[in-house]
Amino acid sequence: MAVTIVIPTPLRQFADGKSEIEVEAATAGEALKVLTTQFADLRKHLYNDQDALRNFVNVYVGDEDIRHLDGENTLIKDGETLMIVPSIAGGNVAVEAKSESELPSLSNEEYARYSRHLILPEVGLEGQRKLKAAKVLMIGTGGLGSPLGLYLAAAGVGRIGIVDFDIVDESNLQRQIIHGTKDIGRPKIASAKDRLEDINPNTKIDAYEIHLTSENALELFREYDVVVDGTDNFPTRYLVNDACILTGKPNVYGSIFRFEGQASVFWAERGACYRCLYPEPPPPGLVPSCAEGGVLGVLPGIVGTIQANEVIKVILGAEGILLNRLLLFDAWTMKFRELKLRKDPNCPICGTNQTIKELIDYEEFCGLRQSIAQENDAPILEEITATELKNRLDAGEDIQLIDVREPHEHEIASIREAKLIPLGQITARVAEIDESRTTVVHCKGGVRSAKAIADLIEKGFAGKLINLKGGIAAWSDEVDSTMPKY
Amino acid sequence: MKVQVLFFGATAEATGKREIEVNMENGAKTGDVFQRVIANFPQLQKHTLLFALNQEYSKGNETIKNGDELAIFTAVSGG
Repeated sequence: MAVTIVIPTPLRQFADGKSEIEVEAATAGEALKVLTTQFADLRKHLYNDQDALRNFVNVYVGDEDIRHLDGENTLIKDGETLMIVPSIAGGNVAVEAKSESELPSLSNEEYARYSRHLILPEVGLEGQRKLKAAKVLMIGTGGLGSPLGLYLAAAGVGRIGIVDFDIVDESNLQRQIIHGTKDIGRPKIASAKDRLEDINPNTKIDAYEIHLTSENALELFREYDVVVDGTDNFPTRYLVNDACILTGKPNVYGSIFRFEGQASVFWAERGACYRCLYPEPPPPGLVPSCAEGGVLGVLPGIVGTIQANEVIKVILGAEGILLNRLLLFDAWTMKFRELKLRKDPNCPICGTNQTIKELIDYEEFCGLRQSIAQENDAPILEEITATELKNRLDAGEDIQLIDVREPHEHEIASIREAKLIPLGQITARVAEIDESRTTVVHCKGGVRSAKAIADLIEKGFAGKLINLKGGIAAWSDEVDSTMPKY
Repeated sequence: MKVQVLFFGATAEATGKREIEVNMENGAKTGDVFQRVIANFPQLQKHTLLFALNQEYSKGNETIKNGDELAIFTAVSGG
């Protein structure tokens, strides 16, 4: 049976520089035996002293890891490809690999503070000293970053970098428990730094009030052992993933949506990365943000705490981290589920044939620039300010108002004259809108109403449609200050 | 044979369901189930969907059996 073996770049130097080698074999094991007989130097990279395949060497037949098939006994069909996917390094974080003499010692105050860790054999004195030596970079100090930072500081992580450029807003406090009421209006990193230093003055906090970009990410990541993704948008998630792979750092991932959370440890040297799971980003604008879709306040508390747990285990070199596993959590039904993940040998950044070798433009990758361009091409949306609308209504002009929010939002605050037709029903209920009258469409902030107008035009609605700029929030600001903002 | 289909994240939002049961012919592949589901819920078409069969990431070519569980989910970005 003729089998093509694909040799990954780092191992080609042991195979006369070849990227593909054809051998005759019936099983995966046999193919590897023939290969390593031909190239003796390859043998010690693939097999250990007991003649077993090293556990950081992944072998794929077709798209399947042979561990999930019959191992070395996996049968190979004629003409099939066998791919070797090695881990680049042993896969330890720098601190985990540190010898005991390199680890910092603890003060008497620290012995007392960490006593409950010290008496746990799984942590112990050595583990606590590893935590003290560790440097963790947190991207975002919002819903996920809040509990994450609190627990990492409390656990005695020696250095924590925090990246955020946002300002604390009243609407953050329902879930972002690192910030308090007195912090409203302050930069999030300033507020977070104060709180973390209060929890543990032994922890050094590096505060970066910056946007994480393709220009600054690599330099920043190199300073740390572990990176934690607590951002709130897709471009930054792909950026964090790619920068982690290019700098060899584990990426402790968490993400939330309304009642549901996801968590995993993406670590290309040892398993799947974010791109292996999500090769392409969702179309822009399809998945609502927390601001548009809402989020249960306690949810990021749970997911961020899971991330903290995994960070600590990565630092300690514990087994059983969330590697090659995607945890799905539903807070409403209180169910945890787990999906097994596999490294994708065709992954453009961590697969055998790496095509992404430097950071790219992530806004563009996620289709955001394109959608801005499309918006510019689209017919110009007619808008009206809340003040102007009020004046025209007061002047007795005949305007029908359509509210495209959800019924529970309508209950919180509504403009008296507005008829409620939620965005999802707008095209089905088009007959309820009088084409002969001027129509002003509104939502909470002006985004969904613009979408509703686009949907109506696409459906062939011929009447005059105007978007209320800034939505009902602007109405509350400009016209009726007694109306609650949410 | 019967297959349980679970919806997560934006797919639960789009379909208004968390779980449905689908009847499939013997020998059907995971991809056939996904196509049946998308035919029933065309609003899913515009999403970038991911699938898992019995809690394992699926490529759509696995043969299913009675009582299998299929999860449909999307990436989420909130933090």
